[in-house]
Amino acid sequence: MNAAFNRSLLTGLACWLLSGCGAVNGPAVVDIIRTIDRSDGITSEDYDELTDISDQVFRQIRDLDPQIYPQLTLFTSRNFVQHINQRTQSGFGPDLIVTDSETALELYRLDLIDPISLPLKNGQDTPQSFLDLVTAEDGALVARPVQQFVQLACFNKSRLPAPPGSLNELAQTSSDSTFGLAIQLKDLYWSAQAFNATPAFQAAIKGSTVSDESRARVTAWLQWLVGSSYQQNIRFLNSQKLLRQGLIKGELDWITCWSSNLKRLKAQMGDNLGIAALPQGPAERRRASTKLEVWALGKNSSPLQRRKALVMLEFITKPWAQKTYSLMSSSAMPVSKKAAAIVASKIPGGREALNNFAQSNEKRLKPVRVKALIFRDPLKYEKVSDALLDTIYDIATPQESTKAILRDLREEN
Amino acid sequence: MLEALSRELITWLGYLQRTAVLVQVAIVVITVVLDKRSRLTRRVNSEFLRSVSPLIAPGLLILLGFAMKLVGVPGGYLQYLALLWLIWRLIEPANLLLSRRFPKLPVEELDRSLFRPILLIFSVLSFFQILGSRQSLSIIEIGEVFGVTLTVGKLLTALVVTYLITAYARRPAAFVAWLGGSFLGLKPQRQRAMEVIFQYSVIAIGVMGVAYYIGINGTALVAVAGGLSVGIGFGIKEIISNFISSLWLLFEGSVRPGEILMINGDPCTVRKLGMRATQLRRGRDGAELLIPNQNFFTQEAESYTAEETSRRDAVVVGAAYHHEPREVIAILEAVAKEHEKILSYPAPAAFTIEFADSSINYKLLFWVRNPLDAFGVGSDLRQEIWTAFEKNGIGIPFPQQQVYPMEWPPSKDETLRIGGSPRQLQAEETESAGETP
Repeated sequence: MNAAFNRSLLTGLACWLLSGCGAVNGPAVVDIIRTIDRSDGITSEDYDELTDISDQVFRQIRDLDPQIYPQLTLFTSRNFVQHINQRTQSGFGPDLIVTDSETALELYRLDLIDPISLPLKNGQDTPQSFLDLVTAEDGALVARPVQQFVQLACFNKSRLPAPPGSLNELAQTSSDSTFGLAIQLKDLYWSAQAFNATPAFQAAIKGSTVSDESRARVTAWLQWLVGSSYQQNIRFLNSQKLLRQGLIKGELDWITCWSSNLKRLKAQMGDNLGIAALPQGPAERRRASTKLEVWALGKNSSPLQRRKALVMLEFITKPWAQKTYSLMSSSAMPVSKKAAAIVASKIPGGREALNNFAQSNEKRLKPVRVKALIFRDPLKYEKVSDALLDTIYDIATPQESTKAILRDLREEN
Repeated sequence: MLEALSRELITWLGYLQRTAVLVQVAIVVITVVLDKRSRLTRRVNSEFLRSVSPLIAPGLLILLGFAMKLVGVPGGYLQYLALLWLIWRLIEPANLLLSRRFPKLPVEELDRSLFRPILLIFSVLSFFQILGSRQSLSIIEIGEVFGVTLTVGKLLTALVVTYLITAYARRPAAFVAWLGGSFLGLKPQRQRAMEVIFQYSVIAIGVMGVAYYIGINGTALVAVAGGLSVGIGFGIKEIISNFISSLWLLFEGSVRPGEILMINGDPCTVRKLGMRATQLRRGRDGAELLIPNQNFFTQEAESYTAEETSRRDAVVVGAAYHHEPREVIAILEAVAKEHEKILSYPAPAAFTIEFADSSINYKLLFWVRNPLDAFGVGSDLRQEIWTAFEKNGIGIPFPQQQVYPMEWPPSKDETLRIGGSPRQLQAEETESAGETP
């Protein structure tokens, strides 16, 4: 928004505050805080990247309700929850929080955001699997899914002309090129899906018997991880940030990446950046792994600010706004089924991500729901993460880790 | 920049739309006003209660903040403001306690240059942190310096670090100089010189570090040096000349803190060798002199401590003509030998220096260890010489002048001079030697 707009807004708000701030439907500043998936500091480039998109969205929202004055602040994911906690305790909590589903669930557990009541007609356009990812254990919807970022393979075209299409190809190619994988569960979960390990997880969570075949798939997945850790040209790094840095510096030739980071990678690598779908495993169908961007309601809003925040939330989940928002960012798929079908071909990894919307086929939905059940429960998430690390670091055999994972998923249930 | 600032301002205005924020601010304002008008402190007789009474109001606010949080109402801002209030009020008692517990600690200096600046920085940063604006404020761009974008955060950090470096480089430098001096067995004066050199080195490295932190690279620093060289040629020649002189003098060791120099005939102690000027204390009247360093560099200076700290001084005295000079010299040398501050080697020596109009003049030369003692020792000697001469019947002559009235034309038979020769025909001025009884 330009300076003239800000000046007029300042004058208007000051007059309004001085004339008595109890107006029922007056102007309201909606404080929006958005997390950036990195641990180091925010830069002005981050603002520049997002301001173009957010300004357009805000302008459209203000066309709908001119009394809304959205103000966007960016914050790194590091210490984000503590930051929101401190501000909320002081009365300065944001009105809207734009973050990922796991963070939203954590904020809800700490009573730092308010649950959202979803009108029936609005929820129909968003697949239930996405809503599951932001549904707390007590059944409360803690945030509204707005976009989904797709997990992809990013590679250096000058060093790796053709990316591996399958996990077998990955193992064979790795003698010549260096491949990078992040050690976090949220970044490795795609490989579990590639081995079709989710039915075993689902059975364990439900408390039912896990078939030998399903158990074998989990073990196969873990064996693949161990085998990869033994390969000299496959490197496991601690975070996505390190993977990206490695690719930019030329230390790595292929990494897993998220569509949210493509713009920055493209800026650094230019035409050398290649994008492809993640390698396919023994599972029959390639399924995109996605990460949700969700909008949550802060706790400190005045009644007027809450109303305006809900207006914004309502607007951003409309199919038309979803389509526009996704096309502007060019890196995220909408959560709206109607909008997703329109923009899938324009978004990297969009076609694979579209499979997640096939709600008519309940079988296809299961993996996403299972992921939601694991990711929204910090204990389950931690247990599976620990078992993964034990396997990769050779502390436990794949068989032992399979037992541990399935036992923990069952116990925590 | 203005746009970014107004964005933050709008967000803050939004907070004023919240009852919880307004209530907390109102509670603090009302409490501060009531506390100012309160006469509780004056009524309390106990010294202890009087000393803790300023902490009562902020303490109660902190407790109220806890209570508000317990019932689910935001009270963190109230607690934060009360905590700041409490800390600021604790400064004076803490200083008092420190100065009583550690009398040698420069509490006032620490308070002025460390405690309060740090607390101020903490208050400002935490205030913006709690508003959620610290990160976004810090990346607001101010402008470009040598091709580097300068942000509010970088500028503030650079200022704070530069202040800390310049204000506190002396202490670690003194410690290192003391440590190095102790190992190498250096004199205290050389240790002080090392300290100043270390201090400037730390400041120089710190400032370069800050420049690199901001993003100014070596090429830009070279450009700065180039620009400065032009500036040196025109405007700041004197400043740079003084600075270079100070460094040279330190390395050379000719003017070091603790040295004693003669400035216009007065012994002065070098207190501090600054970047521009040397600070000296004149022994005669304690005046602080600030002399540009280049004066020492380009002009001659008289030092009593460059290599040897002893100073030779002299007392001149006259004795009547009828006293045997050898006897007088022996008395003078005996007096000097008895003074405790006069060095026995080189031994004091007296000399006959002049057959003056009314006396034979003698000069007593003597050496003292500390040049600053010479003046006092000279005074002592003059008193002792007077006493010794009195004891030995030696008079100190002085010029006497007799004035006679005259008449014109003078009488041929008489003179107006009482007891004078009748042949003296005109008024005359007669000088005769007098001496002390």
